[in-house]
Amino acid sequence: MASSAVKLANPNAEVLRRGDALAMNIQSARGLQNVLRSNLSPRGTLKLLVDGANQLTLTKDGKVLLNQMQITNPVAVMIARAATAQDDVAGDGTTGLVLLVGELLKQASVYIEEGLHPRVITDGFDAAKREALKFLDQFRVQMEMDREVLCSVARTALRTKLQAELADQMTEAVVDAVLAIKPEDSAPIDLFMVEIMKMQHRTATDSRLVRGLVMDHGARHPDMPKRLTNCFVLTLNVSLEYEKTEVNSSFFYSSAEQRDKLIESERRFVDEKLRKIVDLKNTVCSGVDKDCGFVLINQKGIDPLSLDILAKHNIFALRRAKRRNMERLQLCCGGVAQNSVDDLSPAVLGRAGLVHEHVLGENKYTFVEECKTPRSVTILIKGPSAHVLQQIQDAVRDGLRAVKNAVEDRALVPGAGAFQIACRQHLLRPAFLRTVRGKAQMGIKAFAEALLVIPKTIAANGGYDPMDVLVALEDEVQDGHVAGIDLNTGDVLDPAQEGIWDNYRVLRQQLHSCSVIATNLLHVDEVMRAGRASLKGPNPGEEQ
Amino acid sequence: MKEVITLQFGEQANYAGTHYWNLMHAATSEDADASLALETLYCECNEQLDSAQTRKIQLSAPRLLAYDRAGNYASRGEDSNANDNDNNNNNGVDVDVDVDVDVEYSSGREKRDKGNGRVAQGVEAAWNGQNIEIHRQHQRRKTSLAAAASESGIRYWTDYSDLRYHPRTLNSVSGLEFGSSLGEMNTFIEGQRVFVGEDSREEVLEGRFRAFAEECDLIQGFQVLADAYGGFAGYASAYLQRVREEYPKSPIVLYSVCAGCEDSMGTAQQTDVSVAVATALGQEVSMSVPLFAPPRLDRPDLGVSLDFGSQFQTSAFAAANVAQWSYSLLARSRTMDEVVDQATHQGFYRIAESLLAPRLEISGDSASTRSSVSDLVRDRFVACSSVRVDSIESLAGQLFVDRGTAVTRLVADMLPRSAYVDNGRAVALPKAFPSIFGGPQRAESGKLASVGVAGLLCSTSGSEARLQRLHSSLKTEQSRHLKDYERDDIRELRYALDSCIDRYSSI
Repeated sequence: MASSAVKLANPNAEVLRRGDALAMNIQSARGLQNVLRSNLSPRGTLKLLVDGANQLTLTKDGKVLLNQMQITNPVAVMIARAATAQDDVAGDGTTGLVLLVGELLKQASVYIEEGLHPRVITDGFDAAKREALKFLDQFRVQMEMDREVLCSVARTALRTKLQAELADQMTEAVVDAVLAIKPEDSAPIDLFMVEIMKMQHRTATDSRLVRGLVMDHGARHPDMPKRLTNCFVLTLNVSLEYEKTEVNSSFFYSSAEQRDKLIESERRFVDEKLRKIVDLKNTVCSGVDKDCGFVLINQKGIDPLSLDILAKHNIFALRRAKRRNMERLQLCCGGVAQNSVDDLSPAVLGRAGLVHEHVLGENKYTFVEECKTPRSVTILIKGPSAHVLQQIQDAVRDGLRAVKNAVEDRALVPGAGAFQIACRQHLLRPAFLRTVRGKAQMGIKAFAEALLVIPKTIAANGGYDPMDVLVALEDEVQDGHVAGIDLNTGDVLDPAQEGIWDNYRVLRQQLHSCSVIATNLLHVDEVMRAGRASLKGPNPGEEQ
Repeated sequence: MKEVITLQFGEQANYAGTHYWNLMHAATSEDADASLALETLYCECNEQLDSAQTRKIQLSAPRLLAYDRAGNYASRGEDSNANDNDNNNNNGVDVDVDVDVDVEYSSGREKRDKGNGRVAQGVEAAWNGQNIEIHRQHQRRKTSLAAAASESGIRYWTDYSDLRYHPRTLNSVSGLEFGSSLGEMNTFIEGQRVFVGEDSREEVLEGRFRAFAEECDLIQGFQVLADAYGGFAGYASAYLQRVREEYPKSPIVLYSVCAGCEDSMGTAQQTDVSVAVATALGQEVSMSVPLFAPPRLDRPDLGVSLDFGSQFQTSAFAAANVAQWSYSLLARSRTMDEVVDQATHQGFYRIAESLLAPRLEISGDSASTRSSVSDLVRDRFVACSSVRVDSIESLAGQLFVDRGTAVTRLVADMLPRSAYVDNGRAVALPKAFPSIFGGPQRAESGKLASVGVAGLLCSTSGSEARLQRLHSSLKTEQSRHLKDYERDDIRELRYALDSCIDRYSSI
């Protein structure tokens, strides 16, 4: 047998030759497609994952699934990475991408089995992709993004992940959150300015939007006030911990008094910082503002002695705040975060109407609320159990991304499979096919057919016969209408009327990367594994 | 100066770490009455508290963050057949193709298992793409500690753990998303990239690490066990850099753990170790301690015997080293600052060597001469790297820790008081500790066996030779192992090693 060049160089190398390699790639992609198929659309089912530490994850989010399943098949890993990239760029559409890649390979395999060279098919893919992207630009609906439209976008995103009631409730929270942080000019939206805080408490329907900040820690001193109104907020990044001098790190003392003296002198640095903070408090909380509260939020630590001093002056102090919360606080309450206590002045303080602490068993939460025009907000997720919280969190994150995309794209695409159906018809127009010469047309046909996997899967997951639905949809599209699947009746609907919208950039990215990966995989004619680069030793407990 | 946060990265480090926590647990439960400052290493953990267990020890869990690949955790959890069946069902739901678990591990060991037809078949099936490989854990029954002590059943580090973990402790890292391999994280640089990738999405330190830090009143420092090479070494290095930014002055002690001997490493591994060491030197790790399997055990009357093929045993020895130093923190006889200062000559030398002499018995009077201590160090102490420590005169900084031996008597009249600690009590050996220290494992009923161990933590001119060797493995610029790095980065790493070598050569 004419063994490959690698075999000559390294007899131990494992090699899969042409036919086998392609078959393996196609099989793997379809295998992955089969795993994720049932999760698409609002009617899709969930998966329950059990990991090594017996932790349970209940999800239908394609990206979460791909990360948690420990895939070790090389092709599947490639597809999973592309899906991750999809999530990074668009925040949604990972399941759809995996389905499309699998379907493209499946359609291509039909032609390849008949002897068509993969290169010819991929040429067709390329042409089809270009045309599809062009068509997407025509098909999208450009409109003013008012709150109502955004709500329907968010609802579409959330309903695929949550049950309808909860989704409707979170919809407004998500939209209001994005609208609150949206910059005046058309600068990009920074979703990190929406904090997502989870509280295992009560029921999921208690989740809400907090126009302020919620932090997952509380004051560490029992005498600190638990509830303050009309507060000044000081954000600091200054260590209020006792630190030893650096020059000489070991003590030299011969008596107890000497030792105390040394510690005292080192302590004085911290006390000096505290004095400045207390001075500031006394300056601002006087006169008319005598009853105002004073809140100190520090990114660095505060030791018990310092806490004690602050508590005595009725200052509510938090230590080790998240780095990002420093930024959020400035947007929430105003004020400027300080890196030293040297230039403290009333001008650097922010304001908040209400600061209070909420204790849940071991965990404390601090709410900074009632801010004037907060430019950073918190979505507070409540739920009775950890996996409910996780599920809502995944959904909210997707919802936020969807709303953000809509605002930034200023355009939407009718959902419910409408685009894929219309795009297929568009690609199969003889007028377009004629522009591409020769066998590459096969590739275009394969691409067009592959697009149908989305509506088909949506229909199948809704409990309807995919073919019936497809026929109905195609009739409608022939008449020049925009048609999607009505999951309640299995009939045809107009997605725009029902408020079912997909993000423009999600579809764009999906079309783009699915054809790129499928092309790459089809071009592989040999898979080899030679010379493990692994540095790992043998698994423990295993014979050498 | 109170709390210490412990971090563990990677499989080998976690192997050692589990032994370490078992040792600490044994020590604390032996002297439940003694004035050990549990809050240095442990934090309170009141969740899932049974009303029956109200003793203080049971309320505390290590202040520990362990990072490993999800595949390296065994199933932890309640052991009952019903539960196991449940799990099987669940797995049945989430994957529609089940592949025998051997297949998943095949990439790691197919070469060795060539004779095994079943595995070969499995490999072929997966390779031909008939199945998607989905990594499933063995459905393990929870090994009882007694069974674990027999060593044969141990496959994961969670198998012999004696601990109650804090709910925040166990974290899994996957290289799948951001790495370049099939999720294994094989090289240092891949580990770094995985950290950067994860960090860009959601800051890694903001979550569980910050939650631990927020609970602390005054952090004493960080002790870190990390793999000496491979992805988790890189992950740890990137992690520590962030810790350093956040805590510019706290001491960070890095133990680089490896189950094998330093001499028997392959080129690729050695390059990785070099990069890891150089990076640690460059980023202000206060003290870096290599913990490999001891290279030479051929001397007579050593208190250690090791099966070098068993990661369970070699990691136990590494853990005994870590426990030796951190017991002082628990007993409040030294703070982390003081340990680092003493061993590294006020932080001037940043690589310290760790040596142990278990079962050290010193006979005769206390008037032993200076030379006898040097002899003792040469003959009886076992080092954890290829460095030779011969005479204590050539040490730049040293810290003797005595747990139940008479070393204190010997060194007391020749060293300043800060250079030795007498912790009195011998090391209590947990039930799941391999019998590497010889002697009887079981003491009288109800009590754990214990053994006297003397330890020496020092910076020695011997490290120079080791650093030179590491340096030269970075020199071969055509080496394929360095292809992932920029030329300038390599130059910087070599510079870090160079300047460190300069310091050692002046001892």
